[in-house]
Amino acid sequence: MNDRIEEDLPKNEAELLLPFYVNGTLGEKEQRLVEAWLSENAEAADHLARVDEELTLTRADAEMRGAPPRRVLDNLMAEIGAAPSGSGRVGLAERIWSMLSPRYALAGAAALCAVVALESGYLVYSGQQAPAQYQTATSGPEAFSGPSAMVVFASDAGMDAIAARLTDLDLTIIDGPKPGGVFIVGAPDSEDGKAALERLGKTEGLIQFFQLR
Amino acid sequence: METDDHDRQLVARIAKRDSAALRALYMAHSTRIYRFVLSLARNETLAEDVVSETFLKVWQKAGSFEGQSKVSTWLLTIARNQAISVLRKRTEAPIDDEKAAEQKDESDTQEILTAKKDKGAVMRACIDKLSPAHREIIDLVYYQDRSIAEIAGILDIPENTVKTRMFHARKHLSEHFRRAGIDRGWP
Repeated sequence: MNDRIEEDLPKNEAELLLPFYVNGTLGEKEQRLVEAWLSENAEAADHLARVDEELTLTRADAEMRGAPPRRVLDNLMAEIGAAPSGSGRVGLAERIWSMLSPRYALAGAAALCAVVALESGYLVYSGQQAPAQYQTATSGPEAFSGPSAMVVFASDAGMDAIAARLTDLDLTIIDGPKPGGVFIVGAPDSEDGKAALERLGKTEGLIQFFQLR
Repeated sequence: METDDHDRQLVARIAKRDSAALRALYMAHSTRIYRFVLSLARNETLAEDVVSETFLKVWQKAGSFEGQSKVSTWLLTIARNQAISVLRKRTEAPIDDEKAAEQKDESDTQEILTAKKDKGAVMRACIDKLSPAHREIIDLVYYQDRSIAEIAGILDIPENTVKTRMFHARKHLSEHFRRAGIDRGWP
């Protein structure tokens, strides 16, 4: 261990706390301490801007580090003796989730689960691609041969809950979000797949709109 | 439902040998764990192994999770211990030594200078030059959004050390920036 006591440590505790102020994890008392320092110290704004920049650049760097390849999960499941996933596709929710840092996950979930007006025009699949906010499955909806459904997730459903439910049912988001927050969710090409979709549609608290295609 | 509440439910299911719950927990957390290990080790194969070992541990130990920390913090702690264990077999330098493994500044200064038009690239190069201990704490604070207390638990160090270590990491980062031709006005 080499945590040296250096002479150049700031005399003000608030300066040490600044990174934690920016990442939003300080308690109320410490937060007030930092805010008082920020309001009283002319140079504090520069410190804050530097920390904010470091946080932004670090996040960008972290997002570029990628994700573990699919085989890690497959090997893990094999190791514990679980049945392999019926689909080799990586679900959109998984990918969105994996791409988001904890701080951004909330905003991502909000975007994904945006409240939609259930106007019929919105819910007709037009084939027109929505602005590319998120990636979709690699094969795309046209190449997908199994049963599928149009789904709008509830506005207050968390990303983790959505990802977990899709995983439990072995379902994959194959397209979306489309206008109105509509996702196309696909299932393995079997009766079980169709039943899994219907179970998704009946999931309490998760689904705002559901329709088999 | 809060993320940690859902994670706790998954851990409870894993304790009952529910592999779908393990899969769901993996999907929610594996990428962040992978990136955390990469911040420490800069080795993709090692990071993959650590991710796998971490979730195997979760499968084996879910029943002993006492819930005193967030599940995500528990996972990071397991992952770090796994990574440290592997790295210790490969190097004699203590992993949490702030100074020992820092790269020499002169080694790729030109590379940084070439990249300096792209501040993100400079940041990447400068982070790479930090010691593993400094890269790790930068990741925990800025990317993993961990609190002082959580980091103290993950790294097994006092809370004051968390604050001073982060300060030193930032200072070194700024010094690397300055050597790369970007003066941030501090230190």
